[in-house]
Amino acid sequence: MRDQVIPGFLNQLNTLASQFATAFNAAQAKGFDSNGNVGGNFFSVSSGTAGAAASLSVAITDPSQIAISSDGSAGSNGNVANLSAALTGSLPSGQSVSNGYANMVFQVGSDASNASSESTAIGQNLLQLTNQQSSISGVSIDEETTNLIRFQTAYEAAARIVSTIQQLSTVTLDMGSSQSY
Amino acid sequence: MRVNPNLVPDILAAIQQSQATLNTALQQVSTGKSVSVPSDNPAASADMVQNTIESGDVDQYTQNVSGVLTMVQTADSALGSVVSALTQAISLGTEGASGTNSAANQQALAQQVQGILSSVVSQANLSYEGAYLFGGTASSTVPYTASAASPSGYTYNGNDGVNSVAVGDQLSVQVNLPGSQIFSNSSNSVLGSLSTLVSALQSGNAASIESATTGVNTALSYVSQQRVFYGNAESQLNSQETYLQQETVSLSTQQTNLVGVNMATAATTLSQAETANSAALAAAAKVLPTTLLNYLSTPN
Repeated sequence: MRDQVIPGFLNQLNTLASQFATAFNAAQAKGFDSNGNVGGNFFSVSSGTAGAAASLSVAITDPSQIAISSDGSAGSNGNVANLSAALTGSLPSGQSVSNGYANMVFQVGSDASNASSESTAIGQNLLQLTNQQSSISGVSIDEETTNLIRFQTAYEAAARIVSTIQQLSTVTLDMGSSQSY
Repeated sequence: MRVNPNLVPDILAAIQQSQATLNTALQQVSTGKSVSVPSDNPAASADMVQNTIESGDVDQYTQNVSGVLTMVQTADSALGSVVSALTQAISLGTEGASGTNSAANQQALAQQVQGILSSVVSQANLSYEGAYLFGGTASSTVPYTASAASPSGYTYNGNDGVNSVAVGDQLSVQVNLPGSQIFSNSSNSVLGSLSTLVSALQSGNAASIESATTGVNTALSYVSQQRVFYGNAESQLNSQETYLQQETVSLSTQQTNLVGVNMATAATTLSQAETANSAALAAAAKVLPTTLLNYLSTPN
C-alpha cells in the first residue's frame, strides 16, 4: 500500500496537474490579455511530471493577464471558449480533468475502503486465533480455585491422617507407662 | 472443548465495535452526511466530484445570464430610443418636404434633426458598466466621434468583433452587434441618412428632403430588424435562466441523494448504537470481576 499504491496515486495526480496546467497555458497562449499582449502562462508548474501537483501555482500577478481576448481588443471574450475547453476537453491522458479527478477519487476511496475492510477482517482473525490459543493455554481463575480447594481438602485429609497417627502413637506409648489404671 | 478463560480480548473487541458504530451514527446525525470521506462510498464520492463541478458551472452560467441580460436589455432600450428618434425625424422630414414652410422654419427643422442625430450618436456611444455597447469588441474606445472627414459627420472607432457568452454547457449566446452594423452600415447608414436629411432641410429642396426622408424610413426599418437580434437574445437568456434554476435544484437534489443522510434512519441508528454500547459496557462490568473466589467465604 505505502510503497506501491500511494506512489501510483501521486504519479496520477502529478500527471493530471501537469497535463492540465500545460493545456490551460496552451489555451492562454491562443489569446490576448487585457493589455493586448499574447497570453502568458497562467500556471507555473515544474517541468516533467514529478512533483507537478505540489509545484502548481498561479503564475499571473494581475487578473488583466488572463488571456480572454481572441483578437487583442480589450472587450473581446473570444478566448474564453479555449480556456474553458481546457477544463472540459480531453487531456493527453484521454479523459477530461474532471473525469480524471473523479476517477482518482473513486480509486482512492475504493482502495481505502478495501484496506479498512481487510483490516477489520484481519482483526477478526487475530481475535479468533487469540481465543483458540487461550482456550488451550489460558489460565482460568475458576479452574485454579477449584483445584486449590481440591488440593486444600486433600492436604487437610492428609494432615488429619498424620494427626490421627500421632494420637494413636501417643496413646500406644502411654500404655507402657508406670501409671496404673 | 475448553473455552477461552480470558474474556478480555472478546470484551475489548465488542466495546470497540460498538463504539465505532456509535461514532459513525453520531457523525452522520451531526453532519447530515452519510459520506464524509471517499472510502465511505467511493462511487458516490466520484459522482460528487462531477456534481460539484457541474454546480460550479451552473452557478457561473447563472451569473453570466444575469449580467448579460441587463446588458442586452440596456442595448435593446437604447435601440428603442433610436427607433423613436428616427420616427420623429421622419415626421420632421415629411413636414419639411410639404413645401409650406418658410426658410427660417426649414432651418429650425434642420436644427431639430441635427439634435436627433446627436441623440442617436449618444445612444450609439452608450456604455454599460464602463464598456461601450456598440463598439464591437473595442469596448474601451468611444465608438463614434465627430469627424469632418466623414460624410455623416461621425467616424466609427470600434471594430466588427462580436462576443458570445457561455450560458450553458453547449450553449453560448451572442450578446452584441457592432455599431458598424447597426448605425453606420454601408448600405443602410442610420447616421448617414440623418445627416443627409439635415443637409436637405438646410438646402430647402423639397425633392431632396423627400428622398432623404425615405432614406431615414429605410434606416428605421433596418434598425428595427437589428433590434430583433437583441429581443431574441433577451428571450433566449430568460428561458436559459429558468432552465439553470431548475438545474440548480436538480443538482442539489442529486447531492442530497448521493451524500445526504436520511435523518429518521440516522437517528434510529444512533439510538440503537447507544443502547448497544451501554449494553456492552454493562455486560463487561458484570462479567469481568466475577470469579469463583467471589463465592468462597473465608473459613471461620
